Amino acid sequence: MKSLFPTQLGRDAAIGAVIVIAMLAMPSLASKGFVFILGTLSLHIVFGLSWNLMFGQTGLVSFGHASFFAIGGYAYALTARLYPDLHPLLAFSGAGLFSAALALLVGMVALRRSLGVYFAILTLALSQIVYLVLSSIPALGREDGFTGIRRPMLDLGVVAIDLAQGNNYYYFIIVVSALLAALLWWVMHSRFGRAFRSIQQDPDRAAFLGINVQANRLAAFAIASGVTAVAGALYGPWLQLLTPEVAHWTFSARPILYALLGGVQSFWGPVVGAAGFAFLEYGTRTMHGFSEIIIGTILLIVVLVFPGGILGGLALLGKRVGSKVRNETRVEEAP
Amino acid sequence: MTYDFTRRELVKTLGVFGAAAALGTLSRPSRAQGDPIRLGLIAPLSGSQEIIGRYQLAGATIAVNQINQAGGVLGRQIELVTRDDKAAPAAGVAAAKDLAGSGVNLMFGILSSGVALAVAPTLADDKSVLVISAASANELTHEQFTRNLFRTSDHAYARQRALSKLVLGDFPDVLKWTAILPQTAISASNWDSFVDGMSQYSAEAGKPAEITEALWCKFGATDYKNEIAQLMRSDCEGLYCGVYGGDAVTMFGQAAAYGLTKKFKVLVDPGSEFIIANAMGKNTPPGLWSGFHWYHGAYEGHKINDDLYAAYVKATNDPHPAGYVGETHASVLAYASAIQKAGGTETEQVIAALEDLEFDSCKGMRKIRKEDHQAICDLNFVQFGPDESDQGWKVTSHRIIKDEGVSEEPTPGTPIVLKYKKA
Repeated sequence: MKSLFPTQLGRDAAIGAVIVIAMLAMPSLASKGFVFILGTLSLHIVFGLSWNLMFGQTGLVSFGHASFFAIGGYAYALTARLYPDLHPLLAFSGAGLFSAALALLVGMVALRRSLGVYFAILTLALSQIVYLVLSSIPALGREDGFTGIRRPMLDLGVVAIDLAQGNNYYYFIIVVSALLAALLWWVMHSRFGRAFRSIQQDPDRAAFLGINVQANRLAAFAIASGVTAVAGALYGPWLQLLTPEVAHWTFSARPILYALLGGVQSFWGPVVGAAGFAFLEYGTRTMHGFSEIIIGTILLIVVLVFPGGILGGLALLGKRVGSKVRNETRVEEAP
Repeated sequence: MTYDFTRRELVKTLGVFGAAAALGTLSRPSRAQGDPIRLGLIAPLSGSQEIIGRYQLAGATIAVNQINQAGGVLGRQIELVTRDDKAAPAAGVAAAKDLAGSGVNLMFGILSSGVALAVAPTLADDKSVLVISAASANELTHEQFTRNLFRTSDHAYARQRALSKLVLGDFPDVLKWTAILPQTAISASNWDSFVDGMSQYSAEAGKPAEITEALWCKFGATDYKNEIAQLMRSDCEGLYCGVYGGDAVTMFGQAAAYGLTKKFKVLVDPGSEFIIANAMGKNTPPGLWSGFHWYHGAYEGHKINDDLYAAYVKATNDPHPAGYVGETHASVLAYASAIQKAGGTETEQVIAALEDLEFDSCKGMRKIRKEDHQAICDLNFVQFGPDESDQGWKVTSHRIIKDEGVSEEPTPGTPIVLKYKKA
């Protein structure tokens, strides 16, 4: 059978394009509630992909990734309130760069002193500190959250788009999420990504081959944190409110669930996991009190039956079916 | 490296998206005039706040059943459509958008002010109306005012000023007050409003109150011993306990060992209703005044109140309905009156009808102000004390404060000005 896409870039670009086109078409096809879920899903996909850059690619386990989502969100919201004339693209990217710089500082200490479960606990502690700080500052709305985050006017020079009108902000976050996902894909498949994977497989051997393990881990942590922060920054105007809950450890568990559900070894794993999770939540939204039980049970079954996640399980099934077909073909061809 | 992604598979994939899109199209609403009138309840129906959400659901269900048994509105039955907000802003927005997308443009409920503040900016775009049945943040009818949002329940400013009026009337010589508060904006707003009322009413009586700096603690804290020790050293006679819900139970449980509840002459609580008494039983702080959305015992003889109470007890076997039951019940009655008045359920028709609407409810007549969409209604308070019964507590007194000058003047779009607030 002739393959349509001979390279991984071609295949992944085609899948990505189909997903983006489908999501861009949804406002004219689906209900507002479903569109809101999809907009949130696109940001959660970026959240999951960036976490998996650390775990699936570099072997860093963070239990506090939500802290950077929250820092990005609050940084954007505060900047937009204090400097309403600042170009929104500068404000969004500024939130990402600020969080990446913060991650560099944290990582320089945390990654030097600890790895594995210790790094996980350190990041968890960081997220709880961020949560407590956000809950205590009156200017950030304490426990009740930062309210009145407006969707900005996007001036692109030739045209100005009011993101507060209609579904404009939805289209904006889909496009930006796609660009962020493409950036992460490029990082994972570039020289950086190969260095990250070698560190994940065997850091000692990677160091022996001349790879700066510490610098690469730091880079993975900073890139993942910066990208997550941009997703957090986009989330504020989407919800028009931010609460400290986005820094809570329960929110940090989300990207872990997405990656484990979808599969950590594939780029598309967190995408499938986040989408599966969102559709489960949407499908069970009227089953008050039972929704969490149903979702939990399904997650448990998936993790037990497919330890490699949904994509890992499908790949395994594909291999088995393929080898069965080949065996049958050989039997038929035999004289 | 090659991948087995063929043209046929690509077509199949596109087919799946096409099917999903078609399902989306099918989910778009199309309603005829003879169909039931669908009202959307948004409440915490799972999670830690479900304990309150169940009251909101009960009140709404009873109101819908009563209206339907009486023939409906405009000859149409009412259908209750429920969505769970989990008391989380994101889930609340998703619920509101889901309802709007399903053709349910008339919504009510919402317990958490955070959820209400998140949903409010989405209403105009979605051409929906939201009637708040509990969330009490002042901002909803001030800074965050939107003409698509109404509130049929009382708000923080009115209730806390009414509470100060009540205690000054009963205890005119208790003028030194302090507070213990969780670090939440609504608690700060409650305390500011209480101080505002206390300062105004005590000054008018010729005996100005003395307000001591409040103690702030973590929301959801499990250890209040430091704060309790500080309060034991205080020379104040009145304590405003802004710690609410489960936190209040924890705090009062620890305070009993220190004798805190006996140290202060007057204890007030902004709105835990039956929660503290039910949890503390025989250790219920004696003389504790608690704010209520609605207290059924205060309106015995009023038919709407009596019918609601009877229906609630029949459905649940619980003789102590929380005030949230009455508030969602009242929101449904407000919609029924507005739809009747408007002659239809279109968003603009209903908004126009809700403005200046006067309607009867379980706690008497309410009037929704046209300017800021805030209902002016009675403020209810209940005093608790321990007793020897099996439940361990009893209602020792209750009070209705009429909102005559208690609420602020309507100023939608701008914050409340606290004229008497002390730093």
